[in-house]
Amino acid sequence: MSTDAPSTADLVISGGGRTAIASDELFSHAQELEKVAIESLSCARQLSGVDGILDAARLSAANAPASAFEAESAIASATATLDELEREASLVARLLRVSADAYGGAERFARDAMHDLAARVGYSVGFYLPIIALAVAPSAAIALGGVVLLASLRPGGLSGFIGTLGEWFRGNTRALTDPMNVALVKLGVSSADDFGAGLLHIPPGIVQALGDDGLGVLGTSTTAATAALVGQQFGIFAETPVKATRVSRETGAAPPQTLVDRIDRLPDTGENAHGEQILIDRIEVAGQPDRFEVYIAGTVDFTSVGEEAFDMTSNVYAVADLPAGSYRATQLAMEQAGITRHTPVVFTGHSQGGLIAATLAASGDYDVRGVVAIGAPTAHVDVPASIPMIAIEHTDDLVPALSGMRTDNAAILVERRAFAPGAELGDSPLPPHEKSAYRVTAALVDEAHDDQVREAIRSMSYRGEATVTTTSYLAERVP
Amino acid sequence: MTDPTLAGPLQLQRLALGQIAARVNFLASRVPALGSSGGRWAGPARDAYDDKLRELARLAHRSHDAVLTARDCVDRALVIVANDVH
Repeated sequence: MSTDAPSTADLVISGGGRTAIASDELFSHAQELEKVAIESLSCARQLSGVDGILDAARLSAANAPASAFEAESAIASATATLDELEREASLVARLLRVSADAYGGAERFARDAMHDLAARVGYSVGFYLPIIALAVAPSAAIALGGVVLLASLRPGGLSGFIGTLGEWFRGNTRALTDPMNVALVKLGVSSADDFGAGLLHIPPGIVQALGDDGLGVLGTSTTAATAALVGQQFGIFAETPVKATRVSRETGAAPPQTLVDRIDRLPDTGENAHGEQILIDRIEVAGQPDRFEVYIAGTVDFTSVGEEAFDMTSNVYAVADLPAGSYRATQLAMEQAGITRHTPVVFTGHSQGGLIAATLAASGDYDVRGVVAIGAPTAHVDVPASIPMIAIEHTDDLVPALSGMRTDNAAILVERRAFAPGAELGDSPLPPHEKSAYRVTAALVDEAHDDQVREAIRSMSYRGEATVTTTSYLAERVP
Repeated sequence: MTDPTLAGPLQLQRLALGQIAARVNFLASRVPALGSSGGRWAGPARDAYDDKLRELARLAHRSHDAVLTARDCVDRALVIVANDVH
C-alpha cells in the first residue's frame, strides 16, 4: 500500500474448510497465545516438581534456614501465577478464535443475503424485461440515435468514438479497481444466470433447485456457456484445435520453496523468445518419484480471433467449464513432458493460467499435490478438499470477480487490497491484477502466521538435493 | 544446626529454578511482542485486547519475579547450609 508498508496484518484469510474469516494477525495472535498457555502450564508443572523435592515437613526436620521456607513460598506463588497466566492466555486465544468464527458467520450471512437479493433482482429484471423493453424502447431508440449521431459527427466517426470510450476506461482505472465496484461485479456475475432464468420464465423454485445452492447446474459456468454459444453465432468465441510446441529445455533451476518462487517461475510471455505460456519443471530427488511443477501464464491476447491459445475465447470456455484452447494446450504440454495421471504434480497459474490450473486439478485426471491460483477467476471451480489450494486475490482486482462469488470453502483464500485509496496506480489498465502487485502479496503470504497457510506452502515445497529440468511450451491455435 | 543432607536437594532445586527462570523470562518477552505488532484492527475491541495483553504480560513478569525470588532464597539457604557444614 502507499501509505503503510505492506504487512501480513493486511491479509484476510478464509476457507481451507473452516468457518472463520480473519486477518492473519488475528490467527497468529491466537496461535501465539495458545503457545504461551502451553508453555505456562509446562513451567507450572516443572515448578510443582521442584516444589516436591523438599516439603515443609522435611525442611522443619532438617532445621532448614528461613530462606529455604521463603523459597517454598515463592515457588508456590510462581506456580499459582503461571496457572493464572495459562488460564487467561487460553481464554483470550479462545475468544480470538470465536470472534474470527463470528466474523466469518456474519460475513457469510451478509454474502448469502446479498447473493439472494441480487439473484431475485436479476430474475425479476429478466422476467419483466420484455415489458420494460416495450416501455423504454422509444426513449432508448432516441437516446441511441443521438449517441450515434454525435459519434458520427466526431472526427474519426464511430471508430473514433469507440477509441474515446477505450481511453475513458484507461483513464478511469480508479473506478475499475474500486473494491466496492469489484464486489458489485462479483454479485452481478453470480446473478447473471438468474437473469437468464427470469427471461425464460423458469419458475423460481426450479431455478433455486438447479442453482449454486441446489444441484449446481445453473451458475457462472452456465452464463459463460451461454455467452460462448451466442458469441459463436457472431463469429467470436469459436474454439479451434490447438497444439503445444516445445521451445526450450534447460537444467539448473532451483525447486520452489515459497509462493514468491512460484510467481517468479511463471512464464513472462512478453519477455520470452517465442511467447511461451507454459513452463514445466521436472524435479528429480534421489529415492523419490519424479515430481512436476506446471506454471501457466495469464491471458496473452484480449481478442477472440487469431492463433493465440491464451485468448478471450479460452477465458470464456474455461469459465464455462468447457474444454478451452489453453486448457487443451496445457494438457498436450503436460503429456509431452511425461506427466501421467499417476505423476505427482503442482499447478501454479496467474489470471487465466490460475483458472486452467484449478480446472486441471478439479478434473480428477492427475495426481495433484497442490494448486496456487494468483488473481484468477476460480470461484466457481470445485477443487477437491484433499488437494491443498491457495487462491490469492486482491479485493481491488476485477479479474477474480469475473467468476462470481466463491461457492466452495475448501481452497484457502487469501485476500488483500493491493492499492490504498488514492494511491498512484500507474499506467496499467488493471494495476492490482499485475503479477508484480501479486508478488508483493505473495511475499506477505509466505510470512503469514496462519497454520493452514504455512502447512499448505510447506506441503508444496521441496527439501534436499534436487535436479530440475525446465521445459517451456508455446500453445497455439490451429485454425 | 542445619542437616547437611539438605544441600543436595537444595542444589537440585537451584538448578531447576535457573532453567525455569529462563523459560518464564522468554514467556514474559513473548506476550508484549503481540501488542507491539502494529495491528490494523482498531477501536474499542483493540483497546480492550491490548489491556488484556498488558495484564498477561504483568502475570508473566510476576511469575518470573517469583521464580527469581525462589532461586535467590535457595541460594541463600545453600550458603547457610554450607557454612553450617564447615
